Amino acid sequence: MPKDISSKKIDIRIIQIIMSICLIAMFFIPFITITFNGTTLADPKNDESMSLIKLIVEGNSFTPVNNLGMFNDINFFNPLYILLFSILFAIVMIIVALAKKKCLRKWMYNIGIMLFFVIPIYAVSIINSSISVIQEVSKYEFSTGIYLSIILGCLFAYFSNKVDFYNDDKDSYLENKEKVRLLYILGSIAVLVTMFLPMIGIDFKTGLSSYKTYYYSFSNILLISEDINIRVLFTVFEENINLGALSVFWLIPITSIATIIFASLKNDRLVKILAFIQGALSVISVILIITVLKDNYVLFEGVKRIFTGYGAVILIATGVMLLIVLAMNRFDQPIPDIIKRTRINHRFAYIILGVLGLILYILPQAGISAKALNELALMEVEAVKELKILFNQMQIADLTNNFVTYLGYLIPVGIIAMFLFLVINKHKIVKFLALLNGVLLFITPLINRSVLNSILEGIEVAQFRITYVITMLIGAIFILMFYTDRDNKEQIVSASDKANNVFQSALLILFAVVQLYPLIWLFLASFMSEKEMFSGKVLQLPDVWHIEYYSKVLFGTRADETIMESIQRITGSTDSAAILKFITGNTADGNIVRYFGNSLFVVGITIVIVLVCSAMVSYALTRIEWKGNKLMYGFFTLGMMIPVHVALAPLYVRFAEMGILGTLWSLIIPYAGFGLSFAIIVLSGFMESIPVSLEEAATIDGCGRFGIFTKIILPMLTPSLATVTIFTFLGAWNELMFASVFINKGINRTITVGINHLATAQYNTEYGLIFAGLVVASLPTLIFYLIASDQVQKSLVTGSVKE
Amino acid sequence: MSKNGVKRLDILLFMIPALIIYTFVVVFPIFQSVRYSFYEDWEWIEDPKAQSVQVGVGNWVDLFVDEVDPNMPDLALNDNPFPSSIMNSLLLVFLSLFVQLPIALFFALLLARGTRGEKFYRTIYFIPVILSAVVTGLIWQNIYRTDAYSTGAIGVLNAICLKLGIIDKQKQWLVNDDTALVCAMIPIVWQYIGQHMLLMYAGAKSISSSIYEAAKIDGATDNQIDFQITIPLMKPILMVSVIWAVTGSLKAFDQLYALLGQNSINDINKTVPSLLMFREIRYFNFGSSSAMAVFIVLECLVLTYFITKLFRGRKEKKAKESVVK
Repeated sequence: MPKDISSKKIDIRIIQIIMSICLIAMFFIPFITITFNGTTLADPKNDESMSLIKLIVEGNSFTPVNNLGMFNDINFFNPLYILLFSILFAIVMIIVALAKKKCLRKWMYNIGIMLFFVIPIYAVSIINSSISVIQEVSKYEFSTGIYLSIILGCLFAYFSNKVDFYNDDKDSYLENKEKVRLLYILGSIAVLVTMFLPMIGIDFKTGLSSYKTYYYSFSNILLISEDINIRVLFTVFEENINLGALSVFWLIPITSIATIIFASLKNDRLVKILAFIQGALSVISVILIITVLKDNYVLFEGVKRIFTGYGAVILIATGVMLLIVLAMNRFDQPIPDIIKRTRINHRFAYIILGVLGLILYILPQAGISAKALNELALMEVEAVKELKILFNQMQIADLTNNFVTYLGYLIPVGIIAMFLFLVINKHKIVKFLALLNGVLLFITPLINRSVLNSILEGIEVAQFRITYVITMLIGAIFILMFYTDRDNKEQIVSASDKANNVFQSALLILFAVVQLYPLIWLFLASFMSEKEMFSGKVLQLPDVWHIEYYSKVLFGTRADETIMESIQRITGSTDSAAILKFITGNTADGNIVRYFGNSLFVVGITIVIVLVCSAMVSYALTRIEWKGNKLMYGFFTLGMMIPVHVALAPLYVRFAEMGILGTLWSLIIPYAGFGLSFAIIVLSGFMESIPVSLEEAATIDGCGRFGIFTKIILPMLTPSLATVTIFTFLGAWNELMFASVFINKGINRTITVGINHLATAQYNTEYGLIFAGLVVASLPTLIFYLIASDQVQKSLVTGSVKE
Repeated sequence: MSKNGVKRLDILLFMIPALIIYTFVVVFPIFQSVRYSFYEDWEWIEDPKAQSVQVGVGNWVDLFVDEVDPNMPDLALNDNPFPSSIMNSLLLVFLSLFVQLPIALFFALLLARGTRGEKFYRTIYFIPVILSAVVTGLIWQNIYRTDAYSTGAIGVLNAICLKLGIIDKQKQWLVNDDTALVCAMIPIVWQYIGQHMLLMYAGAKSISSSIYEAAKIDGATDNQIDFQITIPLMKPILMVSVIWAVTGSLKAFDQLYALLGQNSINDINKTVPSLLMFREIRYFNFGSSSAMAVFIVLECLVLTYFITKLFRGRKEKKAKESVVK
């Protein structure tokens, strides 16, 4: 089905337009609200919460209360301007997309690029303006950042003119590939540098300057009243140092994004070297983080442990793997065919590692911020009244904003990457990267929301809600785009296949985890103390491996039988349900071996009966000609349709009359009866395929019917018999209904009922024992399955289809 | 003895063991259950031979009418749980059809395309199916666990949800009105995805590869192949799967029994079979439980009939259409 590619392209462009508008809106709304919150929080008198509309209306007259002069001086940072800028940017994007003339489009595109570089700086400055303490420091920082970004933006624009790369013509794109690549590298570095350098600066400066501020304030207070909590002083001190240390974190997203970008460009010596540097950086940054954390993170004990425990290990591994992968990409070779073939794998290694880095970066960051906020709340409670008045407002405002800022940074991280990917959207790989970013964006608000929910109340959550929706929407659009945008497919079919495969594998693995997790949890929990297994950890190895549950389960005392016997002796009754009920409440001790034996016995006998009876019936139905064998076949197959429930009450009564209720035979009979239908269907299906000539030959040799049956037919049936055996085994071994109704005596329980009883006995809450029992009960089927999984699967399929 | 006589004797000998067991276990109880459902409940533990009064359709009426029954003090407090249990069963059917089967189909098609590690994933996905319902039920019970007595013990689900901020305090998943029903059914849905997956996988694999090759030459994408070739050709298997899912859901009992505990008096998440078992085990209330059992049989047979009819009917229509074309 040929599709009109040009019309499709316009569709995609429209999506891009809508998306860019959304992006801009999403990007800036939170920062605007942060600015507001910063001011309202800092000024307790200003209870009135202002809306965005109000802001726009009163934009020019709006002056934050908490600033130290910056806002008054430079009106540029008025949110209204930012909004105007975003709208302008969006318009530019629209024109770029719609422009028919190549030349116009190009120029518009350049302007767009320039604005693109400028706007993040504004955003950061807004964030900054809400952090009152560091305003003076950051002013300088930002002016540098702005100049730098504008210069780089111009450079980028210049190069893009040279290359003429926003061109639909594929050939010219390929011709200029080298230049384009250089351009991308430059551009991406520019973005990274301009985006993150100021932030690192802010973090460091925040730490230092606020340390100074607090130190002086505190020393003043200490002069006034010496019994003031000195601990508070130290915690504040440490906290600020840590704020500085946090800046190191910025290296991670930088390296991650860079790695992704470089990876998608590959194959160039320069690129490789850059990527190598990035890999090294990510290793170094982790080491930095850890050392800083080790020295300073007294406050954030919990976070530290989590982060250094798992995160750091993974991050270091990420960096090291990057280095290895990159080192294997030898720098001095001009891409021979061999590398061409393997490079896709490398690229994916980069990408996955990069994304991993991003995610890892996000989580501890949010956690730390959350912790910080919690600690602050505690401190607030402890602090004396004077302290409260002095620091409460400022600190709360600061830390809230700091924290929200961290979350806010996640958005630019995602957006920058996405824009870059869009710019290079000639490539399928790039689209896939965009997809990954879409997913990331999709996930981020969820994390944000949860953290916010647990920390902040009221305003912030409400204000961020819109952002979440938009962010997730954009994530979704990206994901959609990936699937709708199918240009130049033929160019890199294999790459797209690979991308698809990665996506599919991710899904498959995810589902495998879903299917296996409860089992793994059970297995681990069976070795844990109860406190450990319900500590709320999703997955953990037991601190101490408690194997005593297993020994208790397997070799436990048999209180069961003795109680049974004594009560039977006392009452003189053997089968009264009331007494048995009383007894069953007291038989919860581990008697698993006995139950296990019961189950084995029941299942074994059932299988034998089913096999023998069904083989015989099948033989009579298929190999002997007689009237009504069709009818009989139908009669037997009907059993597959009958729910077992219907037999429960009648059999109960009948067995009670016969006096076998409560014995294992009361289970074997129904199991065999309900197993017959399936067995007969399978076996007669198979038997029909055995050639009659064999039988005839045997008859001539003088074999009787039974001889034929046992000597010729049965041996040939083996595969089908295996199917029937498996089916019957699984059915009977796992059966619960008959087993729980018919068996009242403790000693006659099957394993399923026994375990269930162990779990539900009211006084018994020894979960280790129960879980150990569950493991023991499942092991035979599991082992059996793992050994003969193909056969089991086959027989289950046969069974289902036959039904 | 004539040859015919020998043959008849042989047939009899071959047939008789199975026939006895089968009749005793499967055929006879159907009639017996129908009969019981017209008798009043009797205290037959004391005297198994005591037959109580025939009450006609009394048990059947009682199932649907709210009535305070002196024999069932626990149930007297509530409305008659039977109609709501039918709704629960139907919800489970719904979940099976629209959650379980699509997931299963998705993964079956994915694996059948020949993904790497096909066999590995297939084996993994199938593992829950071979486990006993008691095992899965109890595992899920502890995943749902709530710290009701503030001992500091917290289930995994609660822990995760608390961490993600979805809930602000621990939730009693299996007790709260809004979650009890769905949470009770998730384990059932979860456990048998593998079964349907395997079934559909086998169905997809059995389609001749030459069809796929032809489609690929024509430039069909993977998705097109799935929706326009594989799924239509898998119809017979899908029918089996649907029947299996529907009747399986209507008969679902084991997981609920293990999950909720045999003494649970909370009726909001009981399906018809678990209600039946509850009455049977706790009250030995054979009259009404037999009525329920017969109800389940009818339910299953009717639904199976309609599903077969639906699938077959469509097939015939399509066949006719293609003939016309």
